[in-house]
Amino acid sequence: MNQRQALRHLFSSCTHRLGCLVLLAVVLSCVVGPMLLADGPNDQDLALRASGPSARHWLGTDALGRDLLARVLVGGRISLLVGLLATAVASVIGVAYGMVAGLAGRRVDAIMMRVVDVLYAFPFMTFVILLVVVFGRRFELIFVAIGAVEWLTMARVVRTQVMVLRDLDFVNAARCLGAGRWRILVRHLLPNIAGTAVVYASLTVPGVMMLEATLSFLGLGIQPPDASWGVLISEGADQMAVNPWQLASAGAAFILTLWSLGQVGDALREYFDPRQAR
Amino acid sequence: MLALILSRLWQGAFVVVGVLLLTFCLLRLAPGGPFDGERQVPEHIRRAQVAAYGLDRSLPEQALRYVWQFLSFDFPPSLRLPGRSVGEVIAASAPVSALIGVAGLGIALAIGLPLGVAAALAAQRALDRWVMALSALLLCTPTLVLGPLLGQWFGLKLRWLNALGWEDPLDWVLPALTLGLIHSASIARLSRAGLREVLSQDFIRTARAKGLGERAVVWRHAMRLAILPTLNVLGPSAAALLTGSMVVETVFSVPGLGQHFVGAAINRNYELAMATAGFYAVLIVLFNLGVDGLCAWLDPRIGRRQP
Repeated sequence: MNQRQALRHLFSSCTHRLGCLVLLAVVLSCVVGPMLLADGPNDQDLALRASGPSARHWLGTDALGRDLLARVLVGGRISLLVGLLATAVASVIGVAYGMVAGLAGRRVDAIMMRVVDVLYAFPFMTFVILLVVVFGRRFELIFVAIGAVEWLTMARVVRTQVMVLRDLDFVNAARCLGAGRWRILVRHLLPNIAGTAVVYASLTVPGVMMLEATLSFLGLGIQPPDASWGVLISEGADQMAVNPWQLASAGAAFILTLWSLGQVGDALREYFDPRQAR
Repeated sequence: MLALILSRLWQGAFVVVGVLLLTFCLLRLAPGGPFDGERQVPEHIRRAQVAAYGLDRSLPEQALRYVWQFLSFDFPPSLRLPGRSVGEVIAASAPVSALIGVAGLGIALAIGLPLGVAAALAAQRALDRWVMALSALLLCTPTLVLGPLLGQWFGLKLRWLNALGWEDPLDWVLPALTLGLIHSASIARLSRAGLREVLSQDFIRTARAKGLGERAVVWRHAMRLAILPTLNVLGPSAAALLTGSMVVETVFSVPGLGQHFVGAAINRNYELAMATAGFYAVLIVLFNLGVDGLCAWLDPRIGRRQP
């Protein structure tokens, strides 16, 4: 299969294509949307509190009279940003750890992977909560804390990949030509791992966004008046009997985004890693 | 088999002690102490208070003391809830969390497994597509959305169950249903994939050629192996179940461990936070042990391969 065929194959599945389009639409509207709206996310319309959709407020208003559409879009910016940054943190840790373990071989590898095994059994939520409680509820801490616990699968996958690659001829050839450890790592192994890493990074994003929403729901994540989808969902759950629109809109945006992210991840996996895909 | 269980228990002990020590370090890194928020008291009373809880000793000494207390089930009086010992708090709330978690897992298996099997047998037909689409949707639905929706529907609209609280004997149903529905999605997908893989193997063809009925082939021969991927994921998902139970306990105002943990961490209630984290670790370790044992029993090769 050459490059072009593979690319055409990438979005051959109908749901994958749909997921990609939805994700593009979500990202675009979250980035651009708030600039086009008349109301800011924190502007209050005190005459219209907890109202349903209207011509002025397309998704209605929340209990404080703030425009829900603006809040959902701005909240989406934060949720997506946390998802991206936390995934980046997790990927950097996971790739570095996996590469070192895969290259180091026997003793070190065994110890490092035992550590991963043990960490898998850790009650992570308690640690994220502790980290956030300990170091304050600052934005940059939330994604560092989430990233610090979500790198395990990435480390395992990268390690397996490195173990396959390191015995291949081109690596041996590079070694014979006198390339040092670092050079082999950075110039020869990293480019070959990139595809797998991208796939698993994209599959990490939904879980990370879920964690952020959970934290915000427990009151430990994004603090008011800023909103993420988790905050909006938790406010909406409180208000549900009075005004179901908030839970519906924030929840729908969240579910739709997670679904499309999953589809894009699947599509990427089929492209980079056809044997792993079902 | 015995070696496997012993090695896992050994590993599990490390996990629990590790969790306790890490929790201790994190709590002690945090600024503030358990007596900060209270009204000013004379210096000698404060010192007596600190000494009474052993907070004046060196940090390693304190850490070891906490770990020892946890391992020997000898819990001190709680720092912030006067008159109630940490042991009492845990004894009151742990069964609640455990009930929700176990019932949720049971519901997840009861829904997920049959659907997954049915989907695998109906490969590529309408039923299969529906199961896959529905599970894809459920996989993206967070507990924080599904929980309030179920509460609204069954609690406030139909009035079958209480939407909040923990008084009625049936109050575990809604929290467990929320957790179970969400986890049933991944179970359905994994069991479908597992069964399809196994059904294409040679020994299944042999069983069919022998003249066995389809039911015997699927349930007695194929399922034994097909369920392994599902079981393997159940271990890590115990952690997810506990995470979910924190949210669900908040959504339905259930007095479980989750709320105590968050509260204890915020209030610097050191002993309670450590005991809760340790208890979560014990639950996860025991659960993983059970899953590993089950896997080894279903597929004897696994028990032999392990060191």
